[in-house]
Amino acid sequence: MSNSVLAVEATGIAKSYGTVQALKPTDLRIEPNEYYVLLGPSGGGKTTTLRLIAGLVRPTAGRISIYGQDVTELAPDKRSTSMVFQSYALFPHMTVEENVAYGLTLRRMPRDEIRAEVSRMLDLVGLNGYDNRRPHELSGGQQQRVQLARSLVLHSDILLLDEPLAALDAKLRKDMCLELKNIQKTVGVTFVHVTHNQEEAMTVADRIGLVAGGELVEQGSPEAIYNRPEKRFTADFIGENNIFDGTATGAGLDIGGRVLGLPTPAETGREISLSVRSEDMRLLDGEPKPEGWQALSGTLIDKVYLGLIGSSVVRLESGQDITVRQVGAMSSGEVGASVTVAWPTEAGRIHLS
Amino acid sequence: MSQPTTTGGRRQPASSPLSDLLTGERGLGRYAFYLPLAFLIAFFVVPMLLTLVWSVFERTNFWMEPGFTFGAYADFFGSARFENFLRAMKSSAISVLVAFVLGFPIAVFVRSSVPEKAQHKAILLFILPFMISEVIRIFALRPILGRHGVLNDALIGSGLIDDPISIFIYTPTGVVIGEVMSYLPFMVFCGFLAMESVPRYIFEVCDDLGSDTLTTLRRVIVPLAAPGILAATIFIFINGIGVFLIPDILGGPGAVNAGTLVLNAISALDFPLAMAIAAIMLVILMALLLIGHWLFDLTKLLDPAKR
Repeated sequence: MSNSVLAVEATGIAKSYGTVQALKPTDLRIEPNEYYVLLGPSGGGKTTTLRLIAGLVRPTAGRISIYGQDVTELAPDKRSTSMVFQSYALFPHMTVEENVAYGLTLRRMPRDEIRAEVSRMLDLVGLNGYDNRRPHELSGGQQQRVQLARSLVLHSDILLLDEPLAALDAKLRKDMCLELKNIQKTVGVTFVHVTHNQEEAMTVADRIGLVAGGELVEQGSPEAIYNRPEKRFTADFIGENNIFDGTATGAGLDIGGRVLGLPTPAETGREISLSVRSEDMRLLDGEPKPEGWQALSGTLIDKVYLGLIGSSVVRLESGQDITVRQVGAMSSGEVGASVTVAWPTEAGRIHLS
Repeated sequence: MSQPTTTGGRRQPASSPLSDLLTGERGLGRYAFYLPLAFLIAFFVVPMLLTLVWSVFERTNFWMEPGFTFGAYADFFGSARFENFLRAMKSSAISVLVAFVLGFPIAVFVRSSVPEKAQHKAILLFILPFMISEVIRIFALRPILGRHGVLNDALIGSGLIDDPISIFIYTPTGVVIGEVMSYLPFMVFCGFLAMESVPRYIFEVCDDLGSDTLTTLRRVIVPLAAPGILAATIFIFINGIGVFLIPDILGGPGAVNAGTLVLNAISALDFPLAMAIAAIMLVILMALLLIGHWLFDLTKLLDPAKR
């Protein structure tokens, strides 16, 4: 891995606007042909990171290389990157064909080559026969496909997508996600995709980088980030987790009066967090706590039936609310009843920070 | 029978003859929407028609009498007036061009580089000059543009020239300078208004696709802003031909435009000639508007839904 050339290698890149630090010094390494997603809450620095790679903003510190070439000082059009913008980024006065061809005409490519290339790209994004439509005659999803074609046609090494599906409705977004992933596999280009939508990120990504508070908090495959989050922030942001903060003791985690068992021992006296996925928790209906489980009692304050999943909210004696999600089943208890939530000790994950 | 009664519990809505007259079902209120139309007819259609009609009347010593003659038009086209008129059109066209070159980039800059919240405020600054009477604004150019004016003093003081330049004032150039100064804000307004329909992303898209500034302007920005540019062009062009103040104050003895011609005709009590010149300007204006509308649908400027 380390001796191969990286698609994107950013070392210590940072961006400040006056006194506001949009991105703290960050290292980012993206492999060739990888579908990398920058996921995080708005204002967290993910779009800044993307724009730094694109060259639309200049870093206040650090270097960026693309396939081994230092591009830190290069203008956007001198880098082998293309950008797909959020929406409304087509040229409204041009037809679909003219939009896609625009970048090629600037490169003075012969007319018939352009025509062939454009129609190949429109085929790829599934817009065969839309050549002469105008952007306002297309749906949001179709407009984004045209943008995709307009960027892909330039054959850049890296395609940057800035919240490309944000303006689409949920169903369409789902379809477009799968299609994006397929297109990426077909063209074999490195994709860097920014989104705040977790499901979108999980669907398309080979690897997710979680960006928040101007930092790259954690990165890994969707499966790793979901199942084995290292940071407390990740556990809080991805999926629906219940988090207990406390101090590690010899016996487990002291959360103020109660000591919870930990899956693995932690350094005594240290402030740590324990997260448990809501679907790993159960409500005990009067039955005794199974061996190797942890249990806490509280009051059932809410229950919602969502079809696939039944979701219950339990308020613990400490005042903390715990969400328990069970597939197919619904708690038999009434709202207001005393209940016990329990989980297997090994389902817990320890977060040192 | 002065006792208030209610019949069967039904209460009549409060009504008076006056409110019935204004807002009742058959009241005058339903005609409210026709007010703008009435205004347009009274202050635009009728005067314009009168202009046309009077332009073919017979001239008398102090007024005119009904008749049908193209004498006034023959007089106009057969004299130096026509040449003067053409010269005014040329100088006006130059003013439009200069205003475009100076003003449109300002509109583009405000749209692309000023924070969204501050854009309208920045554009509003261009209204400030209109708080001062046009006569004063144009007159104020005299001490600036004259042989011993501020501009020449500055140029000589900075060592760029040795002798004062006399072309700035009392010349056709002076007229162009005056027109550009007076009407530049319209190019900025209209340009900006049209640029509002251009998403700000577009600038980044162009950067990213490798489009240099001039290509972006030529192939993307100007086509998108064309309705606004055209609106400003017509406005400046017509005003340049018609407003006699500028040639009068800055143009020197020979400077004449359509406005001056009309004024002179009226001074000479040749009313049909004045009307004929006004009618010709009217035709030019209408023709330009028609062409503009035919090319770009100018209503887009005022209707965001059509963008």
